[in-house]
Amino acid sequence: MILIMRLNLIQGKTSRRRFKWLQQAMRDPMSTESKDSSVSLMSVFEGWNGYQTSLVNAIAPLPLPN
Amino acid sequence: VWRPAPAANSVGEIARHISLGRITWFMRMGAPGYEQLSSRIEGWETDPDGNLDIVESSLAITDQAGELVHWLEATWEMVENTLKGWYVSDLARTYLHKWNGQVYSVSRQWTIWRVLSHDIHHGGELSLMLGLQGIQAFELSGLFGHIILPPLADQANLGGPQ
Repeated sequence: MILIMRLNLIQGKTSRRRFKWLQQAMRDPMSTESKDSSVSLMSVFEGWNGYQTSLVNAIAPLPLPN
Repeated sequence: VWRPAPAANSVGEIARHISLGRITWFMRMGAPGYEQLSSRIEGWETDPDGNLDIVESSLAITDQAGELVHWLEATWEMVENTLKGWYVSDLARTYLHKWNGQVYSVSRQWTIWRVLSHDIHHGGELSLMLGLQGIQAFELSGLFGHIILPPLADQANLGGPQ
């Protein structure tokens, strides 16, 4: 009987922790920012500028024509 | 000029094509800054649907690395200024575009993805072409162009069960 009560207590504690984690995840700024229509496209497409740099750095040193 | 096959494009032609593709599609959606670049292109043709297309060979830069870089940077400035000036709310705006006899309602989102995928598709070609010639391009080939890292996670806000 005591064992069952202890198990119930542990399960309840775990559920409360899971619920708190779910609440935290729902407050995650990524999930809200993605729905914000005022977000700049520069932040949406972040990384494209790095790809552009890699293109430039591939072409710049070439002993063209090749 | 090295080509993997007689009918295939050279490295210079691919790099030029990346830049000019950006101009063509940004012009179609009326993005800021395209006029300054399109006015520098002398060769244009009209396709059967009435669309203006650049005659790429009219820009004779394929054997000049400095000029290819200049056009990559100039057209990137147009892309960057557009991305800085537009917001998520602008993505759904559309324009009409006729292709193969049908009229499409094309969104800015579709167009930006079209140009981004165009960059990456032909960037991959460049990577292969350079590799086949034994030319190292570390960022494009070794890092696959992914040279911007995502931000580090804030240790205090790491997700997961507590």
